[in-house]
Amino acid sequence: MLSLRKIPIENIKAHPVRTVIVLLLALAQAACVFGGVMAARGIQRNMELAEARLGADLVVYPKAIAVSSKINMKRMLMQGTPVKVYKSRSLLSKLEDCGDIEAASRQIYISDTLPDGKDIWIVGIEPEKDFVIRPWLEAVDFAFPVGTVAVGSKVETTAADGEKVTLFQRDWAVGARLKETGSELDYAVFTGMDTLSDVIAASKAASMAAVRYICKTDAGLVLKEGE
Amino acid sequence: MKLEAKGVKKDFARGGNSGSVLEAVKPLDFSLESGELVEITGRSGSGKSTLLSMMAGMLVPTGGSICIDDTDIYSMKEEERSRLRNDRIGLIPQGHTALRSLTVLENVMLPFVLYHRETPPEDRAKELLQKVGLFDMKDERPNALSGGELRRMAVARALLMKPEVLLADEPTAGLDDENVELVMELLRSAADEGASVLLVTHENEARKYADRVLAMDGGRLCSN
Ligand SMILES: Nc1ncnc2c1ncn2[C@@H]1O[C@H](COP(=O)(O)OP(=O)(O)OP(=O)(O)O)[C@@H](O)[C@H]1O
Ligand SMILES: [Mg+2]
Repeated sequence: MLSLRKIPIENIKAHPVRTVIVLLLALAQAACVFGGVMAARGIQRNMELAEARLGADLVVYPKAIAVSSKINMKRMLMQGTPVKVYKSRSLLSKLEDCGDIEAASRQIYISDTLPDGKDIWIVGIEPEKDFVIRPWLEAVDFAFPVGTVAVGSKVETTAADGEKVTLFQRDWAVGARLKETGSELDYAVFTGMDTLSDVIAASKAASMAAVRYICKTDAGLVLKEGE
Repeated sequence: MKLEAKGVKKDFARGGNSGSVLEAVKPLDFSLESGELVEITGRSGSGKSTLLSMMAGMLVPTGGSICIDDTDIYSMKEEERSRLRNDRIGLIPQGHTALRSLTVLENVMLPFVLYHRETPPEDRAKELLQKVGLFDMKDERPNALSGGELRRMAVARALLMKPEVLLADEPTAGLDDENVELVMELLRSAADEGASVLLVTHENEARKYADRVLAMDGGRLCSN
């Protein structure tokens, strides 16, 4: 039966070559538009990520260290190089109250010495507030569950049963890795604040054990440890 | 039903950027009564088809109005006008206007399916094809038909909806005497049944079927 809907279908059937050409052109056009949109989106995403990876615009540090030139100020801001100074935590809430500051997040650095004598930085962050470390994570939405850590791209881990990293003689599950940053952070371990407390507890226990162990064997070494 | 042109005119912009216009139809009055068959003759390019297209609601005039029973059809919305054309006006355009992908029978039934979802009136279409002598070709595609056969198919298509107004632009072009006769008989009987029929033709034979004969010359209409 003839109907209005049948007419275009009949028309398509009556001109197979034309139909194929039009279809191909339409597909090519759709592909161009789709490809263009995807490319633009990809570029935008990368730009956003790159911008996020620039990290903080401001780093707050005690005046004294600028004078003592204990650290290279430029490197600290641009590369997030760990520092050994701190400000009291009350400052953070003061900063957060300041309307011109969009986000503030604190970090705590501690360090351990690896068996080969190199220092390894352990960076405690606030997973919900952090905006400096997160953009570098391979899995950006990693939640830093208690007991689990993220590691820099060059940190060596044991992979016997699940990836692990040893800090203060205790194994810690590795839940995420960072992309290569080209800074000292490639050799650091990152934890949530709760996990950091555990790490600190482990460090106390380990140093006690070490002291006790050293006491038993060689008194000379105790002095070295205390330096 | 009465179809009336009041001071209707059509200007076409000339090619190029000169801004000059061609007055294809100069302001004219014309009316077509129910049951009447009016013939318009005139030289090629005198504006006959232009006038007919404006009467059919297909070409917006530059000035004046076209009224069906005192309603200006160009004051209607496009959809309303399209619906009115489909319901009340049968048009046989100049040249060939068949859809190549449909059969002859389907082409004749086309005006019905534009606004109706019901089964198309196949019997009426076949009857009309019989009348124009194309019944045996009903399942052919239009490209299997001769020029004269396509003209006759267009006549059958225009009559399908039993239009109150029938506008025919050279419906007999390319037909032999016998078929001219046949088509003219069909148009005459449409008028006798109450339709208003406007016929544009060069055919001398048509004269004897017409109630009035008008001539067009350089966009002007004058009685003959
Ligand atoms: N769409 C248009 N654009 C520009 N000029 C047009 C257009 N349609 C028609 N014309 C011009 O208007 C004039 C009248 O054309 P029209 O088709 O009405 O002539 P006609 O009397 O039907 O001729 P014929 O007997 O050859 O069919 C012609 O000079 C034509 O070139
Ligand atoms: Mg014409």
